Amino acid sequence: MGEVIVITSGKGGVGKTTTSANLGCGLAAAGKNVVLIDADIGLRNLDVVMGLENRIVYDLVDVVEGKCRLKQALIKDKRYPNLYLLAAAQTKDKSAVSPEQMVKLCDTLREEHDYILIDCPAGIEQGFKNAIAGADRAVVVATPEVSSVRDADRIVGLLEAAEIKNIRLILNRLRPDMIKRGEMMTIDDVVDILAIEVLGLVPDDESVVMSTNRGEPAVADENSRAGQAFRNITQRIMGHDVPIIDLDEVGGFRAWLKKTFRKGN
Amino acid sequence: MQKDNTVIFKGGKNGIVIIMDEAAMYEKIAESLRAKIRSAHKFFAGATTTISFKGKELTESELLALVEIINAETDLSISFIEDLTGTFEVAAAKAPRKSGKAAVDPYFHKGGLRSGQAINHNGSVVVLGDVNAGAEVVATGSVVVFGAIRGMVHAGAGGDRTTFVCATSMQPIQLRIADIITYFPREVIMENKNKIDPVYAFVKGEEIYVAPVAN
Repeated sequence: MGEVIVITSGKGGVGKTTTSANLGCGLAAAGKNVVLIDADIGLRNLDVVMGLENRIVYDLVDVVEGKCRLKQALIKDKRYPNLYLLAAAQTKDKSAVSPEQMVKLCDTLREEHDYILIDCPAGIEQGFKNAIAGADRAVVVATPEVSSVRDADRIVGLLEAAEIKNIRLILNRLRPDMIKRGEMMTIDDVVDILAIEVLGLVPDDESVVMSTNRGEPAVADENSRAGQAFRNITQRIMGHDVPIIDLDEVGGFRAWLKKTFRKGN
Repeated sequence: MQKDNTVIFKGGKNGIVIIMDEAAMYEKIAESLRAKIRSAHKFFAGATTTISFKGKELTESELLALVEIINAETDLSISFIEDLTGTFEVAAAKAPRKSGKAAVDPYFHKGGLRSGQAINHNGSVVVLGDVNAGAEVVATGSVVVFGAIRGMVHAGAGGDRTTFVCATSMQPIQLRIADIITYFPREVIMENKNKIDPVYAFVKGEEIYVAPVAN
């Protein structure tokens, strides 16, 4: 039986879709059979980040309306044969799907796939309710900004009310240099407020923007610091014990220099 | 006469559940609720219980109006918590009137309050956990928080200036006691952030003061 994990945040633009794409690819690279569901009906993005937008024939709404079979709507990824995308409809809105339909869909997918990752839309309305309806676990993505943490707190409250027990935090776009200068919320600051376990820390990394635009998630890029973070998070999702990376270790060029020279000695 | 199922009362494990017909208009629900409470007066009489609303999503003002109906038709005094699933839990307590002051049972809330969650109680409130930014506690009595206050807390909401607000870490966005509103300077909040330092806020003269509990 597969597991259904919703990736959510409340606030928009903190990296839900990027996280979904990276974790999907990461789990697939580790040999798992994975389905990514874009639950952001009307504002679909996941297909673009995955570089699969030109392959969409049927979407989520077609499936729940019975216009096609589920298998027909699962788009096979171009890199990993065991990774599928169920795209959102672009010409409909959130009310085209009900929470009951999502539960049914998740239960069907659960039978044949190891992980079903749901990319949740921003907000706390219908789209959010749909996205969390069938989930066993939740990953809350936040950036170390007060507004993002505030929204994440609201989301955790809603997830708890929906009786989703396993809620973990990914802290995205961390800037170790800014934290050191006291200009950014620290990891402890955020954890103090949200009081949930950290699943992973992802450093701010320009290569993510480039890879996202290219439709090639950073997790496959051996040289990307964010990619490394996502690979670690993937391992943790699968239940492996990987220590949380010390951000100074991935502190950029200077840290790299230091490390290289230390090796040289 | 046809049986009216717009509003149904049920005894749940957490008190009384009021189930509303999702398809019914709000006006119809209010009317039906009033009629049912009148005929089922005994059902509500004198009990200390929790009431929750289910079946239909209501706006806050609609909910308040329904609570007002229950208030008007029964001798219960009511306070409520917003549950996040669109259900609103109402903790109701019978108020023995003593010397004009409402002396009702304090409301104990185990666990913290996250953004968007609120406790509204006619009496004092004790929270075992943090009151996060975006959360609200409004009480006619005092408020004691075993944890950090980061959100908005209003003690003495009925106008009682002798009430106080106590917390193990005081970093509220805004604090109100009776009719006095104060906000905490950013520097003070930053300073209190990583500190466990039980303090309480009270009214002296026309201002809110904060002092250590130990004194």
